[in-house]
Amino acid sequence: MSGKGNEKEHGIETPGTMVLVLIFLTVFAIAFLGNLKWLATAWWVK
Amino acid sequence: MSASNEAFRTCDVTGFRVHRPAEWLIRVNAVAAVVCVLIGGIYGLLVALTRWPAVHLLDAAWYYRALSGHGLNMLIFWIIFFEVAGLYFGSAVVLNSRIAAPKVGWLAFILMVAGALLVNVSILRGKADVLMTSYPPLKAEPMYYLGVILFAVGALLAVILFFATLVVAKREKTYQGSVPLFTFGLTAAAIIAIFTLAHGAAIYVPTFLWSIGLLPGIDPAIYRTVWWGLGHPSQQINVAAMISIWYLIGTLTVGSKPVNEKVCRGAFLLYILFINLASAHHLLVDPGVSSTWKVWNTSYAMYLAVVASMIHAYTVPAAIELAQRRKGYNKSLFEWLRKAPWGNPAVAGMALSVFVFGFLGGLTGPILGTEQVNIIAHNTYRITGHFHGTVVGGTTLAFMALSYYIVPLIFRRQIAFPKLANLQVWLFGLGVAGLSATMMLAGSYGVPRRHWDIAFSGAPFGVEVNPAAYMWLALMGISAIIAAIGGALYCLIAVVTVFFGKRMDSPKDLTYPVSAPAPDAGTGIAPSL
Repeated sequence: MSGKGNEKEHGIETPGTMVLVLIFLTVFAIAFLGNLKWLATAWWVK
Repeated sequence: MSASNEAFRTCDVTGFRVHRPAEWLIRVNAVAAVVCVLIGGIYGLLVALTRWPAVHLLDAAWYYRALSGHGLNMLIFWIIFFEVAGLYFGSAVVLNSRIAAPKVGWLAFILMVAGALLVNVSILRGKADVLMTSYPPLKAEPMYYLGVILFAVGALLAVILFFATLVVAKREKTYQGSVPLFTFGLTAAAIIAIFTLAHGAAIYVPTFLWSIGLLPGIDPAIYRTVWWGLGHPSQQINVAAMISIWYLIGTLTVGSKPVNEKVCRGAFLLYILFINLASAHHLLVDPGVSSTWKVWNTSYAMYLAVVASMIHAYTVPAAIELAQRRKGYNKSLFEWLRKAPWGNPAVAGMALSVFVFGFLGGLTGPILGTEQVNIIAHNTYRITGHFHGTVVGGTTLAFMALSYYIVPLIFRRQIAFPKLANLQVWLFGLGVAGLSATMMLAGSYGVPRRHWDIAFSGAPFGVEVNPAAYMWLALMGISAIIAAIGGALYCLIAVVTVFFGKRMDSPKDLTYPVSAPAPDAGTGIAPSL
């Protein structure tokens, strides 16, 4: 917790977290677009 | 002037030099927090059982009374008492420093207790059925506003004492290098608290003067605009404190260390700069402010604050994954997660807090804060579902999880009923997750927030609500009961531990161990480990 972190590490050392974040972003995108579906409808109508 | 050595004890678990006056201030604020969460929880259960149409427990007057009491006790008193305890812990204890002015700490505590008492008495007398936002022209009795002001002044003194202690620690060289990330995050929370409380003073002082007849009126549009400078940033104090706690729990339980301190600190800085502007999303249907103002604040400034949350959403679990992998849990993508110490309620509580905050509270925030969606969702139960995901599933659960370390370290007692403690975080976490999701689902059918009776029974006109909404409201009631059981268990465990728990004589007595730092992960929180 104190001083410097692990800034010098390189490469994907946390693949599990990357997958969790991708799942989160996917759910986020679906939820957001789902809420804006009426905009999408308007676009298709045009 | 430095304190004498007798004023300190050395913690045999963490190696910290603990200033005894600071320890006492942490204790009393923590106890007050638990009392408030108990009162607010009882109100909350009554509210939920009234909003469940098949039960509809309270009459209208008592419902709005309970809703006012629930909001104030949970969102303000419980959380701020706990945060003040956290500020003293994160400054005096973590930095091995004396607390700058203990008497100011006691004055702050007395003012906060007096304020909380005045507000609760006023609500119980039925003279403050104005809900938490107390929008004019709703008017409470002067004692209510006075209580809020006293509490806020006390909280402001506590925040100033935190900053003064940081100065003392720096001047007396009680730590080396930068302050730990936990303390840095709390500093961000404290800075947000200063401008939040300034907004509070700017609006509650004239409202108090209005209530005693010295001002002829309060402009409702101005009230709402300024009040949300208090209402929303106060939740961002919670977010900054909650994320600091996530990092701390990772360090305490698996010996983790942030993957990149500069990035984490930069994310806290984004909160300070942009979160106040983001409170504009409460005013998206308000005619008093322009569209340009709304769009700028909610489509630009708000997203910069959201970026900060997204950074923490990666760095918090990444730090834990890195620490676990360095301990050898390298098989497959998720062995590090499977082999986490799940029997420790701090771990389970933090994981649930991250999940509920991220997927239910955090994810829905930017959606509801988008003007196009807000036009549909504003003042529906979707909003209530969102903030129960953030402030209850996220903040309150994180505070509960940290209690399983703070209470033994500060009160020197072993946690009572350790098996029940693990059940407690799961019951509360899953109950609140259900509560948040079902509120949002009911709200998506147009169920209004705050309303006593969505059927408008007895009204001269009929209102039709989709029958599916009644199902979600029933599931909401059941979820609330589960969460209330989890909350009651927390209060039981906290009270029995503090007043009757077995005394700790050595680090071996610690109910949940403090992890040694993961290999090559730095020195961890306690250099003595």
